[in-house]
Formats: sequence, C-alpha cells, structure tokens
Amino acid sequence: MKREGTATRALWHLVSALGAAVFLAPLFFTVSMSLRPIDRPYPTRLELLPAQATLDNFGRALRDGNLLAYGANSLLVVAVAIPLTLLVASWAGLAIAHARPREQRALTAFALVALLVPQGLIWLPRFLLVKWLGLMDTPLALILPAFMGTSALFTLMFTWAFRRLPEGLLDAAALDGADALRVWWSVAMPVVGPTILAVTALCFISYWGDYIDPLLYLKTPARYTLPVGLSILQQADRTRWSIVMAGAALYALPPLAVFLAAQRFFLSSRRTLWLG
Amino acid sequence: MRARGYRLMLLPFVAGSIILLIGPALLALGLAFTDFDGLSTPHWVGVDNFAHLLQEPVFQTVLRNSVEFLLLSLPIRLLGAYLPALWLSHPRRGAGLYRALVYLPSVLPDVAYALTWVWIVNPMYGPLNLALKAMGLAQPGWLADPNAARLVFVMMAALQIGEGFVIALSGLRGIPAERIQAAMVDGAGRWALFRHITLPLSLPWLALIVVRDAIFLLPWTFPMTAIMTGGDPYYNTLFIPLYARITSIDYLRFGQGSAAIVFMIVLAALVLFAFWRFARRGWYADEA
Amino acid sequence: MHFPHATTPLRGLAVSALALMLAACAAATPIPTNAPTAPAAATAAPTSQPAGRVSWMVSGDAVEFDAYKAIASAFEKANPTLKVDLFYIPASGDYRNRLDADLVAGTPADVVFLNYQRTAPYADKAQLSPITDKLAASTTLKEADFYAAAFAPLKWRGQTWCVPSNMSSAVIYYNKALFDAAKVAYPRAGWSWDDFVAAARAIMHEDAKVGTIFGYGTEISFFRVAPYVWSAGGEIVNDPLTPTRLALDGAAAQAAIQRYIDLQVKYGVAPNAAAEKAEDSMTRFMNGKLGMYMDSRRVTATFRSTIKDSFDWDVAALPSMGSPTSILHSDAYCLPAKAKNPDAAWKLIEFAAGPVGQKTMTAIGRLVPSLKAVAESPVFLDPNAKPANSRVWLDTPLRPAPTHKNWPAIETAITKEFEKAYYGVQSVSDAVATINKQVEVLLK
Repeated sequence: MKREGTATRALWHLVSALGAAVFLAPLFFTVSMSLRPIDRPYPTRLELLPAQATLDNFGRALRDGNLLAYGANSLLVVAVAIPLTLLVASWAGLAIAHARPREQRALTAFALVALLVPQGLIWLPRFLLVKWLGLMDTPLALILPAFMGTSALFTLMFTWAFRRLPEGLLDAAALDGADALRVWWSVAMPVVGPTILAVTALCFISYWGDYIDPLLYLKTPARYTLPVGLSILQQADRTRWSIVMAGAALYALPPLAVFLAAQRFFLSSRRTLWLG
Repeated sequence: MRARGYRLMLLPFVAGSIILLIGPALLALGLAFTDFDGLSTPHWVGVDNFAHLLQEPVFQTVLRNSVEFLLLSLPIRLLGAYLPALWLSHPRRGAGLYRALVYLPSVLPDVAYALTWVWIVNPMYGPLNLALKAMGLAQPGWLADPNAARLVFVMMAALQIGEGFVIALSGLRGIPAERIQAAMVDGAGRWALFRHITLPLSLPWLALIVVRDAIFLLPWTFPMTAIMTGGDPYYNTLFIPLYARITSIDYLRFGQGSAAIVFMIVLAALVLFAFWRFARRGWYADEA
Repeated sequence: MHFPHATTPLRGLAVSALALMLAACAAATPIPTNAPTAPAAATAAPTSQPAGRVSWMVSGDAVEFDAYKAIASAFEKANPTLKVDLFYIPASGDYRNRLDADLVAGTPADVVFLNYQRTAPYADKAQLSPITDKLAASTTLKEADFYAAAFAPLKWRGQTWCVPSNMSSAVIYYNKALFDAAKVAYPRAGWSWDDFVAAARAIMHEDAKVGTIFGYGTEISFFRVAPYVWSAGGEIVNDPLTPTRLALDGAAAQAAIQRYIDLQVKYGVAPNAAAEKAEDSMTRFMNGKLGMYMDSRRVTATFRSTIKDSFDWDVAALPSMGSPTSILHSDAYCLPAKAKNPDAAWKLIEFAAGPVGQKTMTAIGRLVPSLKAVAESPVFLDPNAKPANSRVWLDTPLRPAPTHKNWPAIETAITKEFEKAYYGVQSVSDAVATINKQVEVLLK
C-alpha cells in the first residue's frame, strides 16, 4: 500500500470523525442530560455539557427507580439464558454441520424459516404456553427462548463456524471412538472461541434489552427486570429528564461494556461472525 | 451410534423451535381467519378480517404509514451501512475506533434508545431543535407534528445500522485483491473500479441487508412506538405491529390483529420479491 | 417461593384455551359460551366463611400501591382465613394488556379494577359476574350509601356489574398567583364559559424570565370536551345506555366543541401541539406557567407534593355553557366470571369498596370517595389540605360516558379527531363527520 500524505490522512480522520459523531449523538446527549442538575430549568440553548454538571442524578435514578434490584433480576435472566443458549445452539450447530448435505440444506432452511417468524405474531400462543407450563410470573418465562437457542441465528453461526473447521478434524475424533458429546466438548468447542464470544455478546444484548416479555409475563414488581423498571421510572418522573436519562445511561452501560469488550468479534474483518 | 448422538444434540433446537416459535406462529396465522375475540369460541370467517381491514380507514392509514416508513428507511439504512463500510473498510490507524462508533447505537437497549430520542426530539428543549435553532433553521414539532413524527422513527432506524454495516464490511473484505490489482493494472480509475468491481461484488451482501430489513424493520417499530408515541399524533406513527397489538388487546379482536400481521408478512414478501429479481445473480456465488 | 398460578386446574384451562384456538381451524367444538345474562358464578351464595387465597390486581403509582397493600393487610386481619395476593401493574395500558391476556388464558385475578367505561365491554363478553344478588344480600355494602352517579354506569342489561371504588370528575385547577397578577377575580360558583375565556386571555402573556404563561391547558380528549357538550344542551349519543348513533352533529354539540377548540385555534390561550409535547400542561401548571388546568382529582396529590408553597392554588367547577355539568371519572372493583375464589373475592370487594378501603385510598389524596359518609368526612374535606374547595367534586351534577360494548374504541376515535381539530388541522364539522363514519360500524 502506498503511503498517504499527512493532508489526506487528516482529511480522512476529519470526515470519519464527523460521521462517527452522528452515530455517537444519541448516547452523548443521554449522558450530557444525565449530568444536568434537576433544579435548573430546561435548556433553551444547545449545550454540549451542562454547567455545574453533577452525578447526583445517577444516585437518584438508582434510588427512586430501584434500579439495582431490577438490575439483579435482569442479570439473573442473562446468567441463565446465555449458557443455555450456547448449549442448545452449539449442539444444533455441530449436528447440522455434521449432517449429510441434503439434511444440512433442510435444517438450514428450517433455521432460516425460524429466523423469519415475526415476534408480533406469536405472543398470544406463547403466552398461553407459558401459562400452561406454570411459568407465569417467574424469570423462567423470560428465559424460555433459550431452550431453542434463543434465535436460530445463533445456531447458524455455530453451524458456519463448525463447517469452517479443517475437514477431518471432527471425523478423526470420531474414529478415535469419541461419542458426539465428547467431540462437541473436547474437539469442536475449544476451536470456535470467537463464535462463542460473539453469541454470548449478542445473547446478552438481546435478553438485557427485552422489554416486551417481562411486561407480559411478570406480575410481581419485585421480579421486574431493568427495562420495565426504567419505564416505571420514566412514567413517575417524566418531567425530570435528567433522572430519566441517568437511568437510561446506567441501563445502557452493561451492553455497551460487553460490546466494547467484544467489539473485535462484532466488527471482525474476517467474515466469521455473521455469515460464515 | 455417532449419528444418533448428533440427532439427540439437534433435538432441543428443533423441538424448541417448533414448540416455541413455529407452532405458535401457525396457530396465530390460523386465527387470522377467525372471529376470535380472545374469550369465546372462535368461528371460521374466511377472509372477512382481511376484507374488513382493507376497508377500515385507520388500517389504510396504518398500511400507508408502514409502506412509507419501509420505502424511506430501507434505502437510507442501506446507504447508511454501505457508505461507512466503504469508507472504513481499509485497515488504517483509527479505523477500528470509527467502526466501533458506527456500530454503537445498535447495541443500546430499546427502552434506553427510545427514551433518549423522546428527549432529543423534544420540540423546545431537545438538542435536535436547539441545534436547528442555533443554525437558524426551522424547528419541527417532531413527535407533535403529524408531518414530521414518522421521520423521527426513520432517523432512529438510520442510526441503528450496525448489523448491515458489518454485513457490508464482510462483503467488501471478501473482494479478492487480485481483481482490484488486475483492474488497476488495466488503468481503471477509482470510479470505474467501484462501478465495475466493488459494487457488483457487493450486491449480494447489500441484498442480504435488504432482506434483513424487509423482515425486521417493521417489527422493530413495535417497542419504539409503544414507548414513544402509542401511534400519535393522529395515527401518524401507528405501524402494523402496534396496530395489531392494540386491535387484539384493547379491542379484543384477535382475528383482525392476526390478519394485520399477515399483511405485514405480505409487505415484507413484496419487498423481498422486488429485490430478489435484482440480486439473484450473485446470491450463492460466494457461498459456493 | 409461591407461584399462585402453577396449579393443575389452570393447565387444564390453558389447554382448553389452546384447544379452542385449534378448533378455530376445524369445526366448532362444544365449548360453552356463557350468555351475558346467564352467568354461572352468580348462583353460588356464600354460605360459610370463605378461606384460601384471593388474588387482586391493581394499577396506579407507588403511593397507591402502598395504600392497596395497607387495605390488603387490614383485610387479612379482619379475615384471618384469607390471604390476599396483590398484583400491581403500574401503568394503566400495561394493566389492560395483562388483564386481557389473563382473561384469554382463563385465569384472571379474583378481583380486578376497571374504569367504568370498560366494564360493559367485559360484561358483554361474559367475562364478569354480575354482583346484583351479592350486593342485595350484603350486610356491609348498601347501594344507598353510595352516590347514585357512581353506580349508574355500572348497571347494564338489567344487572349490576361492579362496585364503584371512587367518584371523581373533571374540574378546573387554577393558579391563584397568576389570577392575582392578571388582576382577574377567582372563579366563582356558576361561572360561565365567557368568564373562563376572559380569565384565560387575561392571564396569557410572555414572561421575560420563564417564557410563555398560558391561560389554560390540558391534554385534548373525549373526556375534556364531553362535559361542555352536555353543558351546552348537546348530547354525545342518542341514548346513553343503548346508543345506536352519535349525536355530536347536533347544533348545540357542534357549537360547544367549536367553542372549546377556539381556546387553542382562535384565542391561542392554550399550548399548541409542539408546546404541549415539549412540556405538557400538567407540568406547566406545577411549574407555575399555566393559569388553569383541567383534570380529575387524580392529580391533587401530585400537586400537593410538587407545588408545595411556590404558589397558592385551588379548584373550581367547570365553567358552564348553559347548565353546570361535569363528566364522571370513576373506577370500580369487579368480579371476573372465572374468578377461582368468588366468595372470598366478594368479601374483598366489600372491604375495599367499604369505609375502611375508601378511607385508606382517600387519605392519599388521589380520589373522591363514592361512599357519601367518607366523602363528607374530613378524610376528604380536610380543611387544612389543598385544594380548599374540594366540595366542588361533591356538588357538581355529573354524567357518565355512554355505555356500549365497543365504547373504548369509540372514545379513541373521537379523541383522535378532536385532537386534530384542537390543533387546527381540521374543522369541527370535518372532525364530527369523520367520527361518525368511523364509529358507525362500531355502534352496530
């Protein structure tokens, strides 16, 4: 690659930074507003950072919104759902990767169909199912999708990852007399670390952000998860935007941290993550 | 022996998907042909629900809103994913940071993202209008303005393009370097390079973005509109998913609600069909 | 941990509900549909002291939840054989979603809480047990102890369906300081619409420090406009109990709607759409930037705690366009037809709608009691608490929204068109014409 001049490089950075600023704006204004003292009238002039910025609103959001307790509920859901999802999706991924070509095509098509089912369609039958299983008002109702690997996308991600393994790696293990479970645990899983991390991160974001299910399945306030807690905080404090934004920022923090920690798997230049 | 082991490993996924997803979806589709009110025995009514919806003024508005939102958001999101990917595809100092920033809004949870936008587009005190005011531009009422409210959701969708961005990046990464070099040896300019090499080879990936959006974009509006507007002002931000939920739950017309979702699926299928003809050439080329 | 819903009979119900949906695709199955006049649960008269658990689903803010908890524990103390499972869903929209989902699954709570406009739709679908006989037999609840206006909309098709927990209505909250500053006399009893408009126009001004001071404001809805239609001698529907068509196109009704909408469109004394979205009228009132605000008793507690001493405020009856009238805002405790423990549920309703329950709820300041004795007591008419003029809620003639199985949908359609007219996007006659067109099918 030929060397660029300083001017070209500066221009490239300038354009990139301006573009990136647009994408950063929602988070930026959330944080900026969350630092604004609540006793001051709303701004009438654009301010990037408020005068007399304060961290008080975060304490208020945590206290008024009881966000720590709701956060613990959310964490519980995530902590159970992620391992379960990894288990189901990687099992299925390995099985599909290993199936005969015709079965492989059929199963991939099945996964794609499952991927395309709109959520808006199924809530009523699923609600009845949850009720029938006696899972109403329990965290298990929120974890239920993990029993099918959460999203068929995760199964497909594992399928693609396993298919990329050097041919014969799995067969050799099988020839050594290892059963499927052994192959999965000691041969297949250790070599698809990036996929495991990517599914973990996506899975975290999906359960952490789930707002619709808890509203439908949970009744007891002590079991509410964080998004419900935040919307209660907003309804109670709808005029005190600094507190609401502080709550939103706190709520967004864990998925942002997960993203930043795993970003090279999200943005990996190899075509590993999404598409095989 | 081994095959049976793998079959068993497949079981949770297949059985789970059928019980939790595909079965419920088929049941719900069946409801679209009944007068189910959630409470009493449903009766088969054929396509009455569909005919009724098409005649209902509010649903006509909802359908128009949904089509307009799709047609506006799809190209914006496509460009919003592809242009940054083109710009940031070469490894360069700092590119990683910019890529992360482009993806960042996509990991914000729904409720946080929605509440943030309610504040951003506050007609008097929100940063968007204060910025427009500082530039001496007109300041729409956004969620209070029937003509501007839908645009808020287009803007919101335009910033959550992380997945498309990654898809586009992957596509650009997959273009063989020899092709580019060969073209450069032939003396192709930047534009010609893009026009004849990069763009054609990106097309399958762009198609994938469109497919994804055609299916998931309308469902995406459900939590957003439920939190932010409830469909206001004057049905202007009422899209099919929220309409279906209100029809089912508030008015206890589950048959009609399901029928509305069927319209959403049809809409997605139409978009996909239109795009299919455009993209089928290179669809599996890369897979094979 | 206790999961009140994890019992086998419920699974049976859910299975039958699923089967019922499956049956949608095949021939009709012999699942009994209860005719609304022949409810099953009403026949079981309480013979002995009921025992077990009784579930109760409520909605409201955190303070209301605390009050409900207090009522539940007082009830348990009075009935040692009963335990209350209190389910609390904060937002009313979420609450309705939950209730409907529970009804569909056949497992509603034993006692539910409904707006009076929503009782007829559920009664129509045989989801509620009428309480006519239970009420007649009750030793603790006497219908005569309640305000008739609160009970009226709960009687439908020859039955009484629920017991009113409160009897609030729309009034005008006003900022005395802004009246003083504009040198306008406070609203007097029987004030007219013209007095009201004059006051709003006098108060309206630009303040150098805090921005626009509006004369009047509230969110636009059916409930805000309807009382003026009645006051002017108009009607909403041709027959309030069995409506077959809307009457908003009557001359008096249209004129009343026009006069209301003129507040925003002609006089500009009320915030426009963008201003209302930027900062809603309730917030403006609390911040001292709105002269008059229309709402029910619900906001009183919020005003007490947020306004404190920053300015003096009070309430007045709605201004009259002819005869003084306001609109009933009321909720009721109802007994779902599929309640598992109907006898215990009725006991809880008796308790919650009785003096103890109503006093507890009234004490937090959010409602007007439906029991005359509680309403006339210092719990409601506390001379030391604002607003000073709480009597206005007891003295104004009230009318309820019409009763119809599709009323919630009709009300939404009306609100949407009124809103469009109020913000100047369409004329009143266009609004009424559109409403008529949309509602026709709903009234069939």
